[in-house]
Amino acid sequence: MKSGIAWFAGTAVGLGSMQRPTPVKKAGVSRTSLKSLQVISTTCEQCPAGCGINAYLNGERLVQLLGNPDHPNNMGGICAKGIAGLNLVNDPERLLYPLKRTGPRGDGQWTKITWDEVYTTLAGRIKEMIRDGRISELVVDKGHDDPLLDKFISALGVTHTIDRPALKNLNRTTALTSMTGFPSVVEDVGRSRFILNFGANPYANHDQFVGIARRLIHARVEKGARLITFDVRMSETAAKSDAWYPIKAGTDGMVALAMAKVIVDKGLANKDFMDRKTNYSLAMIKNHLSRYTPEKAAKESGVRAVDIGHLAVEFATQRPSVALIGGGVSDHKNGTQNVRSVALLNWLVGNLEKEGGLFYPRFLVSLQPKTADLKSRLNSINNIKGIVELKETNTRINTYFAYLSNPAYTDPDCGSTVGLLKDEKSVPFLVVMDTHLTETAMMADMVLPAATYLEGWGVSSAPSLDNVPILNLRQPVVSLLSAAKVLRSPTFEVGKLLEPMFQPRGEAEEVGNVCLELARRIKGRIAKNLPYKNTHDYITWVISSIPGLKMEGGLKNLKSQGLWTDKASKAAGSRYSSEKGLPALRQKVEIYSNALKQNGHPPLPEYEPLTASKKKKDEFILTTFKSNLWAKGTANSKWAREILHENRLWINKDIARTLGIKNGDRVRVTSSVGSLISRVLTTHLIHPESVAMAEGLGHSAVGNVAKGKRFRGNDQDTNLIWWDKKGNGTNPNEIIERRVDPMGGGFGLKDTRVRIEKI
Amino acid sequence: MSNKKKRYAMLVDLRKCIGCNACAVACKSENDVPLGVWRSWVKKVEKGHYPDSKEFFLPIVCNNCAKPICVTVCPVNASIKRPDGIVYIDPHRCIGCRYCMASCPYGVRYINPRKKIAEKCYWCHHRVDAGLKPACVLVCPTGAIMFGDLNDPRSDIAKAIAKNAVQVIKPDMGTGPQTFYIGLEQGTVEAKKMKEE
Repeated sequence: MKSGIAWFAGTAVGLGSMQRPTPVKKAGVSRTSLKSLQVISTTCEQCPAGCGINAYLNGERLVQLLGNPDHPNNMGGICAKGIAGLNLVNDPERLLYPLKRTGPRGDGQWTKITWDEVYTTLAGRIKEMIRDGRISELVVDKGHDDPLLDKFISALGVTHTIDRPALKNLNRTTALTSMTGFPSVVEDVGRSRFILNFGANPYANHDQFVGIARRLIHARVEKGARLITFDVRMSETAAKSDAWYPIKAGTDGMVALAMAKVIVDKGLANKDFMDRKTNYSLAMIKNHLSRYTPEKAAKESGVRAVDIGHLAVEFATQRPSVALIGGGVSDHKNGTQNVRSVALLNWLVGNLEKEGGLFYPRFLVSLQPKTADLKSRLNSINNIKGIVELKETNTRINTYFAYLSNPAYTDPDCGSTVGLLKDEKSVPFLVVMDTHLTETAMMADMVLPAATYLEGWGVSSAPSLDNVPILNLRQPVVSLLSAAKVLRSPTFEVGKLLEPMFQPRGEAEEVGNVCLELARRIKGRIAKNLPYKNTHDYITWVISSIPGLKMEGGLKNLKSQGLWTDKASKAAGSRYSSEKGLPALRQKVEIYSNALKQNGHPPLPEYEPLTASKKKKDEFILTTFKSNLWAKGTANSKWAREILHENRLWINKDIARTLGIKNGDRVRVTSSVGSLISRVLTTHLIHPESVAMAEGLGHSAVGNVAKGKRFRGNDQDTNLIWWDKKGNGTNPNEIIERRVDPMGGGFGLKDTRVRIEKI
Repeated sequence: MSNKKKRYAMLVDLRKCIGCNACAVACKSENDVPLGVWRSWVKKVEKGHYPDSKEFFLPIVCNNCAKPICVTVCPVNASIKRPDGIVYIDPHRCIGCRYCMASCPYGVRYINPRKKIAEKCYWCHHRVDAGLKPACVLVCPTGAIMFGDLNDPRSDIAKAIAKNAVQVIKPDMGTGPQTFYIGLEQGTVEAKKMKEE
């Protein structure tokens, strides 16, 4: 009997002790019963940092998420977003069942369907596309990295993938790849003595947030390191710096080049490194930099020439020193060159594979990104930025699959994205897989409930800040055994007794398992490429290829620890013992980039002034920033939204006075693509030519908490939402122009010129 | 561990605070604090004129005073000071009369909208009694918050207080606050929050 086997398989997922995490007793105490709690160590995925977290279970209920003190990166520290992950899992407004649209698009009329129907429909469509050779009509919009989804995409041969995690920092990754052969570097700030921070905000939002903030603070407070920040607004990092230099938006590159000129002219550069380890000698760079005088830079950026001069000297003499590169530098139309210019400062002091400087990230060798993939990214044409660009090139779309991606909200000029997604002619079939009914999901033809990061298996290698490769394990803290699966099982009553973690979570599914089931139904070559039973089977396979881990207890040990560090690795420590560990080490730093030249761009770091500079009195450059509570997973979190539910427009107080605008006034902010109405925060913490707005607010979907509406639900707290009268902020993406840096291919998100009028 | 009397204290190193709100959210999670009320929060203050302006962060918790006014005024003896210095509220005794809230110079008490009794930060004494750190101390990404026994000269907090100049909020109230700060600048406590004016 076919269904009998299915029953058995269904229960095996829930009951097989092999596939379950092993909770251990660790320090933790229940506030109400004062009993100690069970702990499962896992990995946080609210942001890319990959901090180790401990999930505390009271019986079978997840009660708390706190930092894992054994994780070498975050060392027990955890940010507000990580703790608020609890709200994501226990959200009463989560999407729990697959839905199908019944009314017109965007009307919000749904009917519940089964996963079987989902698989039949999707596999049918994909099979048809493969048969007719039209697989290019499948668009995959990937909002979150998942190895099985990637494998599925490459097995199908999908050409149109929108890779959101890669797009996020594209200008920076392109610039760094063009120079070092690697898209990211680890900034060893903990051992630096002098840190120049260009537009980064490691105290609020960074790719290695908690780990790097901890080390930076330690260096400053305990060891007396100096931190200097250039930013258009007073970020959290600028607030806790030794000096903040407000700078005109998008001119960081010019300041960096002028500093480089000072360093070279005064003979403070590391000649040995420049001549031996880079492809452009010190004499040649001196010639190139001659036109970037501090006086010119001062005129362009508003930072005084004296300051540029003395900071350059300090940077070159107070070794070890490091220059940090952030979104304030890269998210401009000249962003790639800005990043390359700041990076040049690092090369001038010989900062590569050096303590207190920059390191290549240490990954486990088997999880390292492929060099060929990195090279192909250098050509900006290879990066598809969104549906707007796909339609501009007249791409035919049959099916659009979005996973944890919400372009209708996050895309710059999101109005045009909404227009295209809503149009049934341009996107005939829209499938969205997400944890909530997002703005994009509201327009979908089919919505699939995604499991959160606390409900599935995964392994990843987060860049280690101490140069010892780390393997992070993500394990299901909350059981994914759905109510439906249990009810179908003949052993239901027994199963309830045997399954201590029984906790119906609807039918939310991991994207990996969805891909595997689709591959099984498509059959043939695709199924052969994905021979795994489920995500647990896949991670078991990944782990089996790591020899060092096997010696130290293998999967069993990994499950109880939640992470493993490869201390014996060749890459560990401050020096690679062999160049085999990292192919990029064999090449010189390309200050003169041949790859960029081949693609028709200037090969040397240069400064190009932005066209979007201030013209009239009431015109400003709009900068957006990510607050320390910003993450996709906290959009509908009650604790995050209680602290941050309003994103007022920051405007310089003196300028506001001349425009007759007072704190709290309502203004209309207009750009070339649209306008929005926001309240104003007059402050002395922002450059007079810029206005700033926080991202991540002003949702029109996702949930009532995100929308700032009080309601009665399973969670008593939602009836206590007290900010419903204040509204829920505005979404700045509505008015941000879709500018692209032609060199890096990333968006110039911080270039939009806006006009402000009081209403 | 000796049997000597303990004297618990908290130390917030403002040089290390990055205003990330992790302590505030961890407190909500640990103590199941409803929306609209807080046991721990971060006050953000702006000072100075552009371009010499600066932003300050000030995490606030109950001071667990050495001479707590709230304990003196409570008509039903629900506010109690333990020998180790922690001031807590017995939920079974509290009648929700708000006298303690009116008397507290720091405004750290609130009425729980569900239970209708007064509550405040008590340094997670359920965790401390089990030998753990309070939740906000554990999660702080930069290790800016310290907690420990001042009577033990080898504890981290005693060493830090011996080494650095420390301040308390509103020392003139004579309450003897036991939550100490390093780097608390004048005017930060009195200043209005960034959004108000």
